[in-house]
Amino acid sequence: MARMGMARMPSRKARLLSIAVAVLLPVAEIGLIIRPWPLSPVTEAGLAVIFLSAMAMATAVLVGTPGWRRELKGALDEREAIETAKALSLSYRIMGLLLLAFTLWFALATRGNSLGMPAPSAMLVVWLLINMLWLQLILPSAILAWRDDAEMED
Amino acid sequence: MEGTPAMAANAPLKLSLRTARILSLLVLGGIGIGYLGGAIMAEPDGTAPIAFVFVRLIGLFSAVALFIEGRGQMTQSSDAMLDERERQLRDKAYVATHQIMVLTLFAFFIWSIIAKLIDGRMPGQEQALDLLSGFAITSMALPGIILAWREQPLADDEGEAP
Repeated sequence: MARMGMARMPSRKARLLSIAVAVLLPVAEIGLIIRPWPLSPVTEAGLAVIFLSAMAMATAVLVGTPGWRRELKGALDEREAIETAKALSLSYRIMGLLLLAFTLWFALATRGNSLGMPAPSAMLVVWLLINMLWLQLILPSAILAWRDDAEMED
Repeated sequence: MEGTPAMAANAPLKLSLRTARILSLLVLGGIGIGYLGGAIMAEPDGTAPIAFVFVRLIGLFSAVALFIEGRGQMTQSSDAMLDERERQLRDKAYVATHQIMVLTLFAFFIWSIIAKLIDGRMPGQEQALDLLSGFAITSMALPGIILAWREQPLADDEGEAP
């Protein structure tokens, strides 16, 4: 990718950080938000540290790569513009599918609930949508980093 | 900007640009007022007032019409079904949708922080489902809406397509 304006994060680093975020963030969120088991104060503090670390890494990827941001006209060459559009298109499709899946699951779990699913709280939806925001901010950067074969070959 | 895409000719429903734009406004109004307004003005038991349910239905039917219409079909097509220009149009609509949805989710994030501070403003279970439905339908309908508003009107585009 061309370096225009502020320095961008190398693709290799963005790949590693995106993997770390993909592993750590769900672990911390399942532990802290869904709470499938009772937590001791030490475990809770540990999960909070994991959560903050994952958010810091996500922010680094977000700031260090073009991702979802609208680049200035001429900042990207033709290939980069196509790759960015592809990454954003894929992110959009993932968002649409996830939103549909969440809606279906929430409707099934709250209306009638004949499937015996545990009834989710409304706060869980708020958290899901906030996480969707983070996912959509990071995903284009991660996709671009994983598709950037030119830089990885250097 | 761009004229009617060739892909639209094979769609099961053909609408004029003006009709598609009117439907797109009905979708946005129906979802915005019907779902978000209904969630805000919900009865004490969590159900939305009947007027909001009616507005939702208008938005939903308009969204379905836009979805099966040529522009909506184009946004759902795979790369192999589109030519280069159509792919570019579709991808531009996706990119714009992604950015609009990110900004909407960010506005929701800010609202959730404020609502947490003001007691009783967080959504209940019914409102949460309304919110999720509103986000899901909007994200599905937006690419078609964007295509309809980016398309250049033709001089004879006054009525329904034959």
